[in-house]
Amino acid sequence: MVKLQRVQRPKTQRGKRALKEREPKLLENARSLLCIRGNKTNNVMKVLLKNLHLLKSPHSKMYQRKNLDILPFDSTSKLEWYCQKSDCSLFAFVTTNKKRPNNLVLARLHNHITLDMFEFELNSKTFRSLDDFKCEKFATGNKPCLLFHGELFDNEPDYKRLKCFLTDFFRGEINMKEIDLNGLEHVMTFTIDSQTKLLSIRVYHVELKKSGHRIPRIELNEIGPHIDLTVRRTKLASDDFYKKTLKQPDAIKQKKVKNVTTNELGTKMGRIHMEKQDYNQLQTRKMKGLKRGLITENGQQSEEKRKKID
Amino acid sequence: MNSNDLVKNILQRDVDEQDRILKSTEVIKACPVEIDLGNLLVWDPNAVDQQAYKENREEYIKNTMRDNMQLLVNALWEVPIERHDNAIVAKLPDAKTIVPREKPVPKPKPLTKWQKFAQSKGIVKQKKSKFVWDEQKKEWGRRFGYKKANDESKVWLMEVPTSADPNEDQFAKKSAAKKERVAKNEFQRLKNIARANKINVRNDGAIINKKSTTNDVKKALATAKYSDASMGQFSERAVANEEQQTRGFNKKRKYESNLGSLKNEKDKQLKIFEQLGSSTTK
Repeated sequence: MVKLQRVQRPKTQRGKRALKEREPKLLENARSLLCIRGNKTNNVMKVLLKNLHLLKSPHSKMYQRKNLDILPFDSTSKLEWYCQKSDCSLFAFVTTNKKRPNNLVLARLHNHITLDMFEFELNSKTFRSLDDFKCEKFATGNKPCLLFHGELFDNEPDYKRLKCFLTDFFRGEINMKEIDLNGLEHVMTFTIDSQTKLLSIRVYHVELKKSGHRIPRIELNEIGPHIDLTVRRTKLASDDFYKKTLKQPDAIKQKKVKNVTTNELGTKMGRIHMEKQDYNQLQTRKMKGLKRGLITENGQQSEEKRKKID
Repeated sequence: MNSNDLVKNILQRDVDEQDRILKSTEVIKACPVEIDLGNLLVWDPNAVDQQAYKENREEYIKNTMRDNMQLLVNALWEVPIERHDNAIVAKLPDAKTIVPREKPVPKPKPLTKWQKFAQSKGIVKQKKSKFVWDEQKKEWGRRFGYKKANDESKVWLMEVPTSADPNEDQFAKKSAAKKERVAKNEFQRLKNIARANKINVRNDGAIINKKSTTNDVKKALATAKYSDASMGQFSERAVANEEQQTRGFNKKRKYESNLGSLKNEKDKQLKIFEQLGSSTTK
């Protein structure tokens, strides 16, 4: 596919730029989400999908039509093809049937090949969508703060992967070097209970209130979807494939700057290492009087010179 | 002290105490929390308080998460700060949790023939100016692009050199030479691609040791079909569904039978007639 793209050149600058966006890069784009409906979906699941789409926008694409004969746990080839077409590396697939009611499949891809896939059951009784909370939401494209709680995230390997997966899914922009301190608008929290293995996802709006000092006091107001999920099935990547995807390019790694330090006052100090100097050969201002030849014990030569001038 | 005053004092103390708790940014946790500022991530390893969780799940979640968020903000406010116009901006450290990449690490592209040569000779690309002086128009024009300066295709007067044939069309010669150069450039570009992808290409463009795809087989079948004197009109079918297989690769046009339905023929002719009259077709 890539070969063909190079043989047939893009005819416009816009096409060229679009292709460049899709190429593998050193500093990557944010992961895009592809929202797809399956063969049969009920209202609750449609709303859930719409909510996920809104949470991840603008890095999200929603496919409007129903898609027959997609069974993620049998074969993900069709989903992978759609993701390649839309240049997405996450997908959310929603179905409901008698055997698996209120089914949500979330997956992430590497190079358009499925890495990890998690199938959840949504608790439709406790589900509340974005519309159910009548308050100010967050700006689209804002980077959320992610909070995880629950020992299960550290104890079981499946849930450990799930924690990494959820970070990857919701984190938004990658490689952000700076953040506006007033721009911390929303928080996504993931709480997992060890007994019921229920994953609770809550989204809050952050309020910075005055405290006595510089650091503000935080208050949270719930704004977003109120989701309770239970893990049904998982399909995780093999360890070697997973390790391959973790490799970071060498060019990104920050080069160590040697011999430069900043002292406590904030001044930048540097160290210079000099080679050994021969002080006899130093270039200085020439003062004739100090010339080796002229200075004698008696001072005779200097007298001779004075006679010449006179 | 007056009893009234005493009551006032106690109430005041209470209000102050309340104020202090509300405004406090302190958080005490049993187990220290792991903060990854690069990802704005907080991982709270403390156990979930089962009793509080069961009693009022929402309250419990909200309170623990408020505490965690407070810790994140405390850490974030410690980070070096810059001022960009009106916004106060914190410089985030690198992300601690390593997350799988979306796409593989980009491989460096193999050098083209020219790039290798330039590297070995030490030739460096010279930056060229965007605008060039057009002597004829007496103004600055683009080096290339829309209405470029010194446009060779717009030359209206050419001297015929003494060694040339007087009946030769010099303009045609010039445009033919340009076409040659463009074709040669395209050829070199394709050769570079073949070299980069390690595809062996023969001089005439055929690929050596190529594995045939289904399309190639179909093309071969169609070619074989129309290679005889009557372009395959009278030869037998090689495969049962030959027409379907060779659909895109036929050379001979399909004609309707003379003794077909009159209605079809009439519809076709009318369609052509309509297209002649309409303004949407080219």
